[in-house]
Amino acid sequence: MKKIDWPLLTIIVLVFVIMVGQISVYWISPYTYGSDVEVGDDGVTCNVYSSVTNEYTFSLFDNGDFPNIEHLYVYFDESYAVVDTTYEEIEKKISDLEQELEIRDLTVNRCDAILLGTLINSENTEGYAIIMMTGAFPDTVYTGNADDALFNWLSEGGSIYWIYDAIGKYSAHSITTAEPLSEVKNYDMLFFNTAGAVNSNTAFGSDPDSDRNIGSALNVMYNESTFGISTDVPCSIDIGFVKDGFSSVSLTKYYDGTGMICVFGGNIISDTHKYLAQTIASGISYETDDFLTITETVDGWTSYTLTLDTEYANPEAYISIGDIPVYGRHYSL
Amino acid sequence: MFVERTRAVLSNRVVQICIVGIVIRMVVGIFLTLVYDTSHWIRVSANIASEFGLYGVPGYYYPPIWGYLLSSIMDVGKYVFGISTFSLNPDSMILVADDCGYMWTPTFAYLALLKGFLTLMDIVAGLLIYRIVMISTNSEKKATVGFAVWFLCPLIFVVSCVSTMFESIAVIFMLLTLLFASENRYVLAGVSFSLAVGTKVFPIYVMFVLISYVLIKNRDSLKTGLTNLSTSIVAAIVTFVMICIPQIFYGSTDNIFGGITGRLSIVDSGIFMDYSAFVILQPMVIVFAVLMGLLLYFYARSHRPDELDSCFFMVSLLTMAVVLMVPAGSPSYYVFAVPAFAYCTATRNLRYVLSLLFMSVTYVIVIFGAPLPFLYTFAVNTGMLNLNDLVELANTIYIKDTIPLKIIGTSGIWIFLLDLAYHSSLLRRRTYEKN
Repeated sequence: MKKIDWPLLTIIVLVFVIMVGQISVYWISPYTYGSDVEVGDDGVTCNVYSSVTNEYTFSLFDNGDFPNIEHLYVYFDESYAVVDTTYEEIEKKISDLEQELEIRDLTVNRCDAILLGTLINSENTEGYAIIMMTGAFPDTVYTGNADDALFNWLSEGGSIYWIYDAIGKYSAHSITTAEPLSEVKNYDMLFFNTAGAVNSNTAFGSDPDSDRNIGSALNVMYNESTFGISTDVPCSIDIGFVKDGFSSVSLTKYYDGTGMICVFGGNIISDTHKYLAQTIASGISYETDDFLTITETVDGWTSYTLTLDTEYANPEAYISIGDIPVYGRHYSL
Repeated sequence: MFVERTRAVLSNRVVQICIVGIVIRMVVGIFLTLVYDTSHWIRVSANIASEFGLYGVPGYYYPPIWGYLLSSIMDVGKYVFGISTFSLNPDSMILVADDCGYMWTPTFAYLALLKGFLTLMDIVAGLLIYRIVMISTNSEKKATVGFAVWFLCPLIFVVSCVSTMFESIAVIFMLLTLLFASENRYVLAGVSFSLAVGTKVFPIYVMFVLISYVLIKNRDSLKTGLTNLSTSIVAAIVTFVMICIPQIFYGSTDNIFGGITGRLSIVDSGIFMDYSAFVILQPMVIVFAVLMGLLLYFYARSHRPDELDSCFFMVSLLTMAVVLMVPAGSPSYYVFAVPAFAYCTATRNLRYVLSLLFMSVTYVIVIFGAPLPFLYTFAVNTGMLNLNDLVELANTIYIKDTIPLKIIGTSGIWIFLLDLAYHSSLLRRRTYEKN
């Protein structure tokens, strides 16, 4: 009987496993997902699909008067100053965020200082949001004065998602100017009308925030509250973790209008883009209330019906698949 | 019939060692897990499931082979075993989030899958050591010793089943390279070498010994030697291109060795001292590797041709030990030195196992420098331990500086190599001639 060539067999098996892995990663993905939501007499039903066994979370909430965000912009301008980071680093983080938003069926437009100025000075407020990851607003929208266009835009219903450094602490100018960054005093008053609203100490939240049930359902495991917003600021939901009265993730109503300021504390670390994307895509806001959620297993198509005990003014749903979310869809019902 | 056959299988020494090794791994693996690395594998799996590829978003910093294997492991987990979730994420785990972010806590199901695969890889590597010792000595007993030294080495099972690192896979490809080269299967040798380096870059140091071996083996015809060498090199390049086709296609080739370049830049900035010695002394390490190639060349010239393969196996494996005489940072790298210990213990003298034990136990202590975090996964999965208490205690029980321990651990290799050199046939022959 011919002897088995074990070394040859070993390498054939391993190469086969490696090639299957390569095909699975890059060429023919075995992972597909889908979902939809129906409103019926007995409640709201989600239909979820995953080609492999997965965990999914179905959340239902009332978003009050807050409008659905349909237009997303991320600010990036290499001709304007940034705070203690490089353009390359920011570009990479934005690219990571774009991909995370894409799997949640959201597209984000990049805008430079001029375009941002045009947007902020336009009538486009409700349903519009800007994502700031550079540590400073450009001087086309913010110079540190109460009558800056940015505040008017917030008053009228615009939304800001902020991550990296203290919101409003700097105004960025063109890098060709002598002093490309100018520091703003009382920025906490300008944005939150509350002295000491922005944490200036390095901190990591260890206790769950007041609205942690929402963060937990969305799998937002983010606890850096450096530059986080004080839990004393009114009209806000805090979905992360708290330390010394400062939240790691808060969504706050602009004190002089209907706009929203969502602040992620700290720096942009390895997974921040995932949490930020999940927060944006879920559609939650400072108005979010009566948050219901279930987590179940899906393999193929499956359905789940959530019954509503109270009447929702503005019911919205969010479906997320994966313990680390690999799919997300928001529904306005 | 079945009982008899089972009894026969169970009476096999290698099977018995396998059972002992697997039981040790199961016991250790259930209680202890390094969340940091395992957390990365979970994140990489999620990135793959999101169709981001390996390098599309942050999370994966190694050459692609381990990423492909992780993908296959995930496919098996999802399709065959129906594992719905790889991680548990209780809020309490936020307490152990560090500067690198939140650590996804693996489920027992995912750990069983991952550690099971890595245990299998340990067995395969052990069997290849068995085969190499068999070729050298024609003694099943000695080959079994080689297998046992590898498979029961504390460093091996801690790296595979606690750290969930994949050094064993690179060792498999490295050993296959040696076997194929010794059998004149130059294409397969090139393929294996490429896969070894594409898994973890360390086996690249064996390159000089391989070149030397192919040239000596074909010493009668330099042309044949060069042809065989070229065959291997072409096979290695083609294999590497095949592995990296997606990265070439998507323009992310700079990420393939991102882990190494990233580590080098950190060393440059002077904040990651652990890895500095190995990087700064890299020219010396390469000189060592070249010298090992020359050693084989001159050693083989003065010996009978039928001893060449044994010389080749020993010098190749020793090369990995020689380059790791310099403290290399991560304890898991020392897995590459273990085959040399296993081979020499089996073929030369059992006492070498003592220096291996010294090295591996010291490095295991380094791995467990902060021991309590290794219980986090067990605490989260079972609820039998209070995570808050563990986190609190973890901040008080740890070894502040592991660098001295690493130096001590490395001295195990020095002791082994000096002992081996002193007692090598070369030295003995010189002593004999002098007398």
